[in-house]
Amino acid sequence: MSDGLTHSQLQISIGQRLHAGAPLYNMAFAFVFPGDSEPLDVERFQRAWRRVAGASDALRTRLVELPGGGIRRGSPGPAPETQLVVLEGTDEDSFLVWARERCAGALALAGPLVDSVLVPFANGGIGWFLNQHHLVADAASTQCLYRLVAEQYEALRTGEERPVEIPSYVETYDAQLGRPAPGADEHWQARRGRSGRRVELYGLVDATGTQSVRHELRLGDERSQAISRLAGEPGFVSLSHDLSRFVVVATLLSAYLHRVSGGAEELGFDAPVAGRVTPDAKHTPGLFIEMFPFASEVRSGDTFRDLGARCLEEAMLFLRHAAPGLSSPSGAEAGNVVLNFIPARFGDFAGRSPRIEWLHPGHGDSVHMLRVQVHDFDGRGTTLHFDWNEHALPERLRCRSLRHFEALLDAALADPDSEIASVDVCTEEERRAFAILGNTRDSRLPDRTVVDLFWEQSERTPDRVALRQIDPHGAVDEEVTYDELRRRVDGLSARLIQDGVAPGDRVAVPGERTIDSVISILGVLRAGAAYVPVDPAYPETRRRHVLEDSGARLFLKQLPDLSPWLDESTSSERPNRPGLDDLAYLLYTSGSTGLPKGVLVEHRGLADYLGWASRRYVRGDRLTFPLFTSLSFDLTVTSLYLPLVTGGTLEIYPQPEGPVDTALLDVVRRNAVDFLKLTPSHLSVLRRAGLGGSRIRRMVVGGEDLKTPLAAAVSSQLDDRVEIHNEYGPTEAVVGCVAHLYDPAVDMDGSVPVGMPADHVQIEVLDEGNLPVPEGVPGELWIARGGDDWDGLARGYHGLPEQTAEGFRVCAEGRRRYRSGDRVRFARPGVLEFLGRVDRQIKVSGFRIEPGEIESALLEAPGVAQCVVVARPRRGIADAGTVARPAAGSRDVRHCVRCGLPSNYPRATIGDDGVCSVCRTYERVHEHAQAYFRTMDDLESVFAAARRRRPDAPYDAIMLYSGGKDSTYALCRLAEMGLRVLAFTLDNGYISESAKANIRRVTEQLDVGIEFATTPAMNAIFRDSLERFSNVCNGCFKTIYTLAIRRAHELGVPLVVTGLSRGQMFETRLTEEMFRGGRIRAEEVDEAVLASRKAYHRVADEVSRSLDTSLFRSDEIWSEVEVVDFYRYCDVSMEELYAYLRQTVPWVRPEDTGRSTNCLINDAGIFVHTAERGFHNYALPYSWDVRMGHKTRDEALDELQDEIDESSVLRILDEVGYRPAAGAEHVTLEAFYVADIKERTDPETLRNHLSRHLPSPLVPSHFHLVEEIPLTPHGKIATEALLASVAVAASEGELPHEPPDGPVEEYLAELWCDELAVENVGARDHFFQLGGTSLLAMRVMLRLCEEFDIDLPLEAAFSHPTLRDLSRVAEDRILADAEGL
Amino acid sequence: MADDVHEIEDRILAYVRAELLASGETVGREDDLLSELLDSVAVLRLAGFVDQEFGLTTRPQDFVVENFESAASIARYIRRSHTARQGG
Repeated sequence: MSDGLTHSQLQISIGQRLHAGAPLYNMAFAFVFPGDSEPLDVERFQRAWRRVAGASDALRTRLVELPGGGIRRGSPGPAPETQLVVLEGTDEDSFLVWARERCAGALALAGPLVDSVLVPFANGGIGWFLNQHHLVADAASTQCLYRLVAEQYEALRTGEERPVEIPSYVETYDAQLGRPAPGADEHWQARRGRSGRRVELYGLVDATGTQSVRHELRLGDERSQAISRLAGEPGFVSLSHDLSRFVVVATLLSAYLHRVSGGAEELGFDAPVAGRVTPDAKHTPGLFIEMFPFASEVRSGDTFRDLGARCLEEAMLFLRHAAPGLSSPSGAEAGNVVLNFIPARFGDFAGRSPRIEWLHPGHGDSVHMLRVQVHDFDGRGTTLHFDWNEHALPERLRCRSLRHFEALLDAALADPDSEIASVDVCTEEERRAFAILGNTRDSRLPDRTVVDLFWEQSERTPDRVALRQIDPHGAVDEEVTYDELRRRVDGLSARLIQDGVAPGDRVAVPGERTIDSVISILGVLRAGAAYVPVDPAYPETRRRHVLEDSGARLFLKQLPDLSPWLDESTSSERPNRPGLDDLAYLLYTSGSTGLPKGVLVEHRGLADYLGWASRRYVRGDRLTFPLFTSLSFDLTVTSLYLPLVTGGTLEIYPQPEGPVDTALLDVVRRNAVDFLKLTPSHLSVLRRAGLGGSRIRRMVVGGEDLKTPLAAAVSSQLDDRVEIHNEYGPTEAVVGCVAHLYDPAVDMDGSVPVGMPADHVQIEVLDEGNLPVPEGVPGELWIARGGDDWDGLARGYHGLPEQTAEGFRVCAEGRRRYRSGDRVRFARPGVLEFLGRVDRQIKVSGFRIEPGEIESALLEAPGVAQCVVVARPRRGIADAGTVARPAAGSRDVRHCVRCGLPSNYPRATIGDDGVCSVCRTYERVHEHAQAYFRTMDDLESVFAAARRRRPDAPYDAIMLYSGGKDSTYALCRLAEMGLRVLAFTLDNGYISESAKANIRRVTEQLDVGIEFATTPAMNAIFRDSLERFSNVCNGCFKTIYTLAIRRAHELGVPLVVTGLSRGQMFETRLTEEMFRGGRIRAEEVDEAVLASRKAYHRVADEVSRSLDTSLFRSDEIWSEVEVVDFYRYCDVSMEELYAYLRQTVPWVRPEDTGRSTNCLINDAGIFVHTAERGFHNYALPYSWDVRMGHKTRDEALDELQDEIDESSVLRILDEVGYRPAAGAEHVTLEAFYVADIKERTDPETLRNHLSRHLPSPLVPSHFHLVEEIPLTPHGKIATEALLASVAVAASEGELPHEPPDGPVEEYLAELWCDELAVENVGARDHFFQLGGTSLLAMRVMLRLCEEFDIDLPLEAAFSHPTLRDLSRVAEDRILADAEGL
Repeated sequence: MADDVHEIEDRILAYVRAELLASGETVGREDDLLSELLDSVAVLRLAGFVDQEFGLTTRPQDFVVENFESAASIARYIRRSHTARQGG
């Protein structure tokens, strides 16, 4: 099975075959014997070498490359010689240059695998170049070889020649096998399956190609000795000095990985184990090492010694279980970091001590991103190499990496009890480059308040319209010119001042969007006071809190009569004009400790933001802006002021009657504005509403993460003639402080970048210890706004000095910085990427929500003892955008009269005669298609040819065996042919028990070997498959193929046989295009199939990330392992097949899957596919079964219309962790609570309690009574476990479930399920109690109207919140429309 | 008492000979296992054997040269651990 290679060699040979000709496994050394020592005798050295090489089977290894691409051991060759190369005028330096060049050449596998050269220097010294292929050497082996040659050299000198006796490498190696340590398999399996195997370094994980660059750090005497001393201290000291030093290095590497991964706690790397267990092995040149995974965990607050103690413990487990032959043979599931700690010391060579240099061939294994080599071969001090995969990381980062490590090293040596988090790892260069400051030079400093700016504007353009009130029908209600507005504002301020309002006061203003509210705001500012908007949508308690907490002097509920004041107010030199240091407004945001906190924003910050926003967004144009969002919303500040300081117009859209704010749609409908400031949630409503023909040309999107697909969709609706600015900024740093102009041609992945700082804004990315992170590493964003002598950040939180001190910190330079709580990284210089929150803050429709605030309120409800509020990401489907959701078998679907293909299958049409286009095509081509099929005799020949190709193969074929009828039949027939078959089943975790029982019974009866393959990555693969294809099968198939072909390769089996049915062949490969010219050429099909197979296995997906797919990087695998489809050779009818199975084997039709498949996860795939793509993923396959006569049309229809148990599907989707890509925007808040008095805490009571205290976005959609709140091993709340413990159920049992009735109710029920991500909606269910929000209501109404082509007011969703009521409204309208026709 | 110690030593040596040494290699009660005969992996496997066979749980801090130098020192370590446990 290993072609004569040892287990260790197998691993290396696979890597070498993947990169044929690359010198990635050259182990090259340069030994420099200086001129001042006694010169080496070249001829004697050569004789000594010859004697040693002749006695070592390892050094004489020759390998034979097999036609299929395999490698086997050949008979040993002659002893390789040491050549003498004379280079004119060589000295040490030029020798090293020459040696480095020479070591970059590949050694031929046919041998010799060793290159030994002596190069004399002009000064009498000599250089020995020794390059060995890793297949025949490791570090200990090189040391051993060096010692043997030195001994022989010395013996030849003294004439005491001794025979050289070296144990055989192969025998010594094999003698060590088969004595595994107890528990070893379990240990390594657990280690390989653990997270943290692939560490994110500087935000990156993957290596590409073999090119590798070595970065060197020589530690010098002092630091080498300090490491030795540390190795003797408690926490590190162990059995031997080498082991203790290994623990020190493992500790330092773990600390380094922790810091450059942005604080990852679970980490790991692979480390080689010497593998020389017996004394013989210690004296045998050859490859013995094996790689094993080393797990590391860095906890918050760890000192180096704490971490050391944990590494020591792991080192014990690591060594205890590292028995020879137990490493993963194909390098599967390798980590991306290697620690190679080499204790070998070469010592003297016949009384001389050469300088020893380990040469780097410029290549390395492509699975490794970083190999850390630690050694001291010549006793001149420890040397550290960071061998980086060249393409994995930009050069500037690679160069800095050693500095980062060095900082940690020095800190640990100076004080092992210092905290790892306290070490500043950044270089000075990084600190300078990444504390990024926005433009400060040619941008105007904020020198005037918004009051002054408006005044100047009103003098420049007195007659222009400043405000325009729009009525609920979209018509203009009132217009106010700049001059008039200024007069009224002045009048109000005069009145306020007379009423005693003084600078420093707070005045509450109503949040309703009216001209009066705008006048109130400006009037308050003009009077030198700060305004506090009070949102009318807030519950009474919350409004009261805002009024009380802000200490508002008065609440301007209504404008007073201003007429007495209007004419006196012409002078701009009125008293109380605010200064830049005065407070402008107080906005309340969710507070984690229970109550909302008021953010105090000063004029200077506001003016600074407006100055920048005018320069960036308005650029001197006169634009019309809409006011359509709440005045208490930070986002609204942009729309409110920008027009008034730039001569534009503010159109004010009131909130329509009813509880839902649909003003955004009125804005779109009226189509009179040029500019929109909005959230991504708004944007997704716009996308659905449609923007074609809109005059909007500039959009500023803020408040939430903006995904590129959404930006792209909106941009293309506007023919890409719209600027979409992604603006980021917390209220505390004043509206917006970082921005990026979306570019559809460049910004294609994930989220739109958040961009670069605004003028006068400085951003920094810091880690948990408040230290700057290196480029690429995730950290928390800190923001400063201002200059040397001014500060534009918010003043802090009103009346909350502790929280202000926590959120706003003064840094060393004396500048205040605001800690945003947002996790970001510099993807590259100048590109800031948003990664999420560092705390629990959630955003719903741009609304900041602190779960702590909701929890505090909930704890006040009687009977609640403990509680936690978590956000459940919405299960998909909701934002699919273009996809309607006709359920399989829903009323409008027709089926092909022949094959049953449903009309919702998108790539086919059903003709007037009821026959589908697939059947028609098949009718035309099926005669010709027969040319593709073969006979069982042909199959015999395929097997005979394979046997000739691989006479020593342990099996004739591996059969992919699902346990279904097709593959069972195929397996039986192969066994009947007398073939040696290995059955291969992927246990994906969801195979039905009856299918497994079939598999066991059948293989036992046939006496066929069976292997069940598994992978810990299965769920990740399912997830990926659902995300890419909305099904589970694609991922599963790819996993089967990958593992089976890899297994065939490992075992040397030439064939993999599939049970692909003829229908599947038609479906996937015998497509119409293959019939050009009316005939089919089988060879052409084969070529196309092979080409697509190659490409298929090279696609980067979860399979390629989680499984070892390195085999597929080269084409050789396809000549080594051939994939054969059994049913290409065998034509059998269903009756024959079943009859045969009945007679031959104890196979029974599986019944526990509820359908004709063997797999319980199928339903989940079907559910998601139907929901997301609008049709059943088995629609086409089943139709082919019918066409092939393997199913009747009725059977196919039955299965297509099968009821799917949604609760089990949702449980499975939770198990595999499927969250749709678009789901990040949509979360449902759920509360979990432990009750003292259960009777008093029913969900309805709790919901009512919270509704009295919190704004509606903060009220959870679901309340779950639990026995206890589960914790993770780290003592954190186990959120995932909590969410998994309850499936989202629509009804909470107040009313008996009543199924929807009639087409409108049914459609609406589907729509609700879809938008609300709930299941089983009943006619009496209430939209908002199921988690509906205003935005979702708008979407539901838009879709409802679209579906039935009716026009309904959006408020209907609110006035008729139950399914039945809303359906009645829609039905009435449909009837009315019909009558009107 | 001495018999007990010898019996422990013999069980250790039997394991070392059977599992960790090449055929033909010999080892005595006082022979230095660490610097000459066994590398870290082998010693750790020996420790695993000791834990299992004599009902100990060797902690990282017990992994010092004095405890694992030779069959004799391992036997002393085992006895000490047993005594400590009984005493505790």
